[in-house]
Amino acid sequence: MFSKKDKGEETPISITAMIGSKSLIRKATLAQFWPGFARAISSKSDTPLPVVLTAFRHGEFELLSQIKIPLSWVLHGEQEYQVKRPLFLKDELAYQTEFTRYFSRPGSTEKLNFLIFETRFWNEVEVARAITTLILRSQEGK
Amino acid sequence: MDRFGPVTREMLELYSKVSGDKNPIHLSEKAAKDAGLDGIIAHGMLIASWMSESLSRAGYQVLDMKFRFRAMTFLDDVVVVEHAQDQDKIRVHAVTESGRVVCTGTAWVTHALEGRSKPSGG
Repeated sequence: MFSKKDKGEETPISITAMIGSKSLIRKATLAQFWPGFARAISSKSDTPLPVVLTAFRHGEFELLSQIKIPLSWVLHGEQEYQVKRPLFLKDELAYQTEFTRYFSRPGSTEKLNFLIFETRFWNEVEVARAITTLILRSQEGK
Repeated sequence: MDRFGPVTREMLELYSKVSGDKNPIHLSEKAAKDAGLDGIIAHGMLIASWMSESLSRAGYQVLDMKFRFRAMTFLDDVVVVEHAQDQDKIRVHAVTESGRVVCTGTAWVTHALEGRSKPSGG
């Protein structure tokens, strides 16, 4: 996450909160999904690395579509995982993505807008949290 | 130290498919150039995944991780991942062979897996 100094001005926008639908990673899902994901990232690990969680989120692309931001003007700024325990192939997890914050600040050549999303993963207790910072590049002067 | 790549279109198509990230700047030269980029760029999370994999290969069980994407990674780039222990955490960075730092990160390690070597650092 950005430090307070880096953060820039909080800018209110019309979307104040947006929560994606609750979804499930079923018991067999990771066992089926991980080998293909592992191949795609050149992983030799038999058990899922936390980065696999990036494939499970709901709401980011929908929100961008809602505010009519073309995907091609979106960059990934930061990614954070807070994981309480290793992931297992047999894990059954619920997850939900929430849009948590928006702010903007001047970049070196253009104004940059930041969207923060958090996806929580849990069963009886929280297992992991993925925090995504997307940068919306300004299309002014395109 | 681990080397990944060179980044290919097939690699990005596969990552788009498994991750669900269909941003066209990772798949189409035209979309990337229309968006003001020099060409197709790799998914930041593919680079972060390589960093995570490098730690795993070194025998670390990593839970919390934080990545900041510093620069774009283009087709044909080879990415070198290096890490070094810094007290209770590991500093990890990904640099192209031409010397561009594309991602830096911090990982908090719970333990090193038995029977595997720890990273030599840097």
